[in-house]
Amino acid sequence: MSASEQKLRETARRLLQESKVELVIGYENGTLPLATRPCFIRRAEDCDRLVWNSSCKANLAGYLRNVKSKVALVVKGCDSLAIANLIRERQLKREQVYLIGVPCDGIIDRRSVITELGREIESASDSGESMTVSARGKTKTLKKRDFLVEYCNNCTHHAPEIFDEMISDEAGPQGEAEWKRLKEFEQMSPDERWEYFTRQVSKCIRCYACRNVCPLCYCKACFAENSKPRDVDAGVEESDIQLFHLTRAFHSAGRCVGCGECLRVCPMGVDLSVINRKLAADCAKLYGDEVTADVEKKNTLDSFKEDDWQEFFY
Amino acid sequence: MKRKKWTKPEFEKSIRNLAGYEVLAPVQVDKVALFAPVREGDTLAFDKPNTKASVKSVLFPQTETLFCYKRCGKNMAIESIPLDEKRKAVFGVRPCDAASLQGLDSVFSSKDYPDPYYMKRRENTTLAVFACNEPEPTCFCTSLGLGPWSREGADIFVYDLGDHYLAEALTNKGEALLDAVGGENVADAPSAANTLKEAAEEAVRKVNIGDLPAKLKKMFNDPEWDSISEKCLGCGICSYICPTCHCFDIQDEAGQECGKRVRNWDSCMFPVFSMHASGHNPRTVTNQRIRQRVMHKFNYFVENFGRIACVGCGRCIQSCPANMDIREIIELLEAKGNG
Repeated sequence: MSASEQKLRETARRLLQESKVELVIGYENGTLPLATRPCFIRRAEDCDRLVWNSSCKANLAGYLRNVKSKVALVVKGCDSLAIANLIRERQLKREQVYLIGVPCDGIIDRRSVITELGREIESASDSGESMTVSARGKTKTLKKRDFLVEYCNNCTHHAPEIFDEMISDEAGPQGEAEWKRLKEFEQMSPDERWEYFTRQVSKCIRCYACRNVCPLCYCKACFAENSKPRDVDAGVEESDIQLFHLTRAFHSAGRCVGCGECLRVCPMGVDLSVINRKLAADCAKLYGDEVTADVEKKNTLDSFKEDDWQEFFY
Repeated sequence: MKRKKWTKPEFEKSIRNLAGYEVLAPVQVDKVALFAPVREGDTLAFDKPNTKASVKSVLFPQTETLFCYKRCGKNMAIESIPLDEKRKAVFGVRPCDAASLQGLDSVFSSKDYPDPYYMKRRENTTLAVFACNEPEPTCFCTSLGLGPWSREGADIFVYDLGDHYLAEALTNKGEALLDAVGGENVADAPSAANTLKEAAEEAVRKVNIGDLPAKLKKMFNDPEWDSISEKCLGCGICSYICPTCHCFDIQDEAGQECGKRVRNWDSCMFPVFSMHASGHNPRTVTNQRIRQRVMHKFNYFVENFGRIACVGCGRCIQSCPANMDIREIIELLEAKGNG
């Protein structure tokens, strides 16, 4: 157990014992190698379930949705940006949540390890910068850096920017801010972008995992499920799938913090990350709206100034 | 018994050129393998672990039009859609998926509400089931009375012998397909069969299902449902990739003058699933929906159709973003419940 993990457990224990919070939401070990899962702790004696390691991918901010009491939440950098947005959009009061900040070096992408092994991982062990994984008698020692979640390689928010308490001062090396795949996407013509988009969403099975995992998709009645009016039909007709994803992307424009959860959870490998990042880049370039933890700023879609760029109106 | 064998490249060539059938197999779609009609240029994924989603979409598509209608003066003229009578051959089905179709048969061939859309496809589809030599750590078929070498539901049973396949026809449909594929005739089952079978069965991890179906009857109000469900995101991944899940929603997609009635998969994990027209929803919270899912598969289906609606394929375990693990849920409830 690392010093950070120990500190995390102590912090959680203290918060519960002192009744500062009624619930701690963090990560515990999952039932698969290299997997963790969200855990909900209400008793100080259960805090030993909490872990902090390179498999703690989930953005736990989404679990605040139905919480009524004061809650402590374990947050990474990306997660804290989502929290900032929830506060900005008045879905959360800052006082409702005690943020236990963890610095992050990047999270392992299980799927890339599975691809490397050719099948589900049977066992794995973590040795700092590397990990040993095996399946069906085949064992490989891999460098974690080579198997990080794609977004982690370009992350510039390694430590949470809103927090109540940090469990450690360390923060890993900042990633390369410029994302090669985004640059390539920006060079594409509209037809090429459309081809990319339709090809990706043709794999979609309308499970709504991408929407449900997103902390910022909190509408109680989602446009995709309304019947009056019936804007989008359910099912996998091409045009319905495309309409769902286009609309969700635009609903997220200027709000998406790039945590990459939508990409992680999709069972079919639909990859719209470049589209979401392009919309974020456009908000930054055209409206000066960067992804920050500033809870006072107005998001792009929440504000209008007379000199806003509006050349898209013909 | 009719038997044939091929080297793996010979086999792939034969099925790609198969006349008289629409050929379906595990096809690689980026990082994921799915059952789909084989097109030229497709990479087939026979030597990989099981497909991401089950084979059910071959007989029960996610979206299908049941009929169309258009306004005719004061009336509606209904136009039937011809049923899908295409002869299909599906290769690479694993024993778990083959067994799951027996469960779907119970639902869709019910005396009171037979489903011609599913049944017509079922009649015209031949399944070549491939034995599993390398179960995944998430498989648990043997705990459900099945196994990596189970023949239940197979028209043809195929042994994977490393560099070649050996197939046995188990039904008339299977014989017809085997004749069509061709290949070298073989007299006997492979000698390595028993060794491979035992090794595969040994490799499947065990889950203690015990008396769960009976115990669940008294566990509707158990507080355990709350803690089990807390991390569930309420998405439909588990239901949609599951071989035995079969719930659907029927909607009219209508304009002013014409429309069509469409059936789509639906998931009990969605809040809207149980929403009544009045606005009342008997299942407003996740724990009620998780309870529904588990009880349907391990109790209601047993009472209605005499089998557990789970084949231990482990897909839900692999794909759940919140790491909900049905094995864990089964064992927790089994241990807690009273016989």
